[in-house]
Amino acid sequence: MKTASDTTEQASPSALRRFLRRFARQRLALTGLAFVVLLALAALAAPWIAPYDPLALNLDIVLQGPSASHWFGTDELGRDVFSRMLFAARVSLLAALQAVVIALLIGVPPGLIAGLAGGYVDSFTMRATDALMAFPPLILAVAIIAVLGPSLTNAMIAVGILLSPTFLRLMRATTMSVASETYVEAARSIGCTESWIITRHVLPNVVSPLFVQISVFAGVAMLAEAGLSFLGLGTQPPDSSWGAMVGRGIRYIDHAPSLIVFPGLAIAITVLALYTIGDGLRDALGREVRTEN
Amino acid sequence: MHQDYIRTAQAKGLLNRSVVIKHGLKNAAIPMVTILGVQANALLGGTIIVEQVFGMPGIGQLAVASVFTRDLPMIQGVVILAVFVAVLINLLVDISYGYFNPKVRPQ
Repeated sequence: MKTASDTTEQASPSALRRFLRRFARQRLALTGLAFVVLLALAALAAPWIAPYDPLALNLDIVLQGPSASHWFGTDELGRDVFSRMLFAARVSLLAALQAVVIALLIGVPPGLIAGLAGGYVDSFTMRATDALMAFPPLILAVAIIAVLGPSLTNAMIAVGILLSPTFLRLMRATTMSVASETYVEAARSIGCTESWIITRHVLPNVVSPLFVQISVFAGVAMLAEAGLSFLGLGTQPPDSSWGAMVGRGIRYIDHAPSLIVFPGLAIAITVLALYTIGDGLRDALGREVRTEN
Repeated sequence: MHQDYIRTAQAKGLLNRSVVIKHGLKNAAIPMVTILGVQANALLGGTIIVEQVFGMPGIGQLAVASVFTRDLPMIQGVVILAVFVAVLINLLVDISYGYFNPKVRPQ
C-alpha cells in the first residue's frame, strides 16, 4: 500500500510536467486556451471594461452598424451590442460550465459503478443510456424544458442530461480496462474496501480521458445553449446570452445584419477554441497513455 | 479499390461500371450508412431551430409553441414521434448492413 502510493506520488509531478510540456508545444491548442482565458477574464471584468451600460436604451441610435463609438453597432432599442456581448459572455460561459458539471454528476458515478460491477448492473445501465441516446438531442432538451419550465438553469439541466450518456460510456469503458489491472486485484486481495479502491486506485487512472471530453462538451453545451436561447427556451430577458442575441437579432436581419453576425461569430470562435483545447489535451494525454504501457 | 475481389472482378472482364457499383460502392457503403444514421438523428433535432429560422410549420415549431403554452401532451406526442422515427432510422441502418455485407447476417 505504502509503496504503491509512494511511487504514484513520485511519478505524478513528472508525469504532469511531461503533459504540460507536450500541451505547451501545440500552438493551436494554446491559442484556443489563451482565447478562452481572455474571454473569461473579459466576462469577469465586464462591468469595468464595457463602454456602455448593456441595458441603457437610446432610441436615437437604433439598429446602427459598427462605428467608432459603438464597435459592434446598436440593437433595436439603441443598446450597445459590444457591451451586451461582454455581459452575455458571462451567461454563455457559466451556462456551458453548468451543463458540463451536471453531465459529470449524472454520468460519472454510474459509469464507474457499471464498469466495476459488471453483470446485471452493467447491462441495466447500458440499456438505460441506449434509451437516452435514442432521443434526437434537441427534441429531448425541449421536452425536459417543457416539464421544468423555460429558464437558463433548466435548459442547462436538459443539456447536462443529454451529455451525460457519453460521460457514462466513457467512464464505463475506461473503468473496465483499469479494473482488470493487477494493482486493483492486489488492492482487493489485501482487503481494501470497494470505495477505497474506487477513489484511490480506479478514479485517478480514468480521469484523463474525461478532461478531453469535458472541453469538447463545453463547446457542445455552449452550442446547445445558443440554440435553446435562440428558441427562447434558455436565457430569459433582461439577461442575454449570445444565442439569445442571435434570436432577437434575426428579426432585424434586413436592417442590421451586424446584430447576428457578431454574437454568431463569438459563438463559433469560442466553440472552435474549446474544440482545439480538447484536441490538444487528447494529443498530449494520448502519448502519455502509450508511453506508460 | 485495392482489394483482391476488385481485381478478381476486373479479371473476369466485368465492365468497369459494374465493378465500381457492385463491388466497390457496396462495400464502401457500410461506414457511410452508419454516419448517415447518426447524422439523420442529429438533424431530426436540428430541425427545431431551422424551422424557427425559416418559419416552416413543422413538428419543431409545434414543440416550441407547446412549451410556451405548457401543452405537455402535445410535447409527449412530438417526442414519441421523433423517437419512433429515430429508432426506425437506426433499425433501417442495422438492416442495411445485412444487405451490403451478407457475412454479418444472423444465421
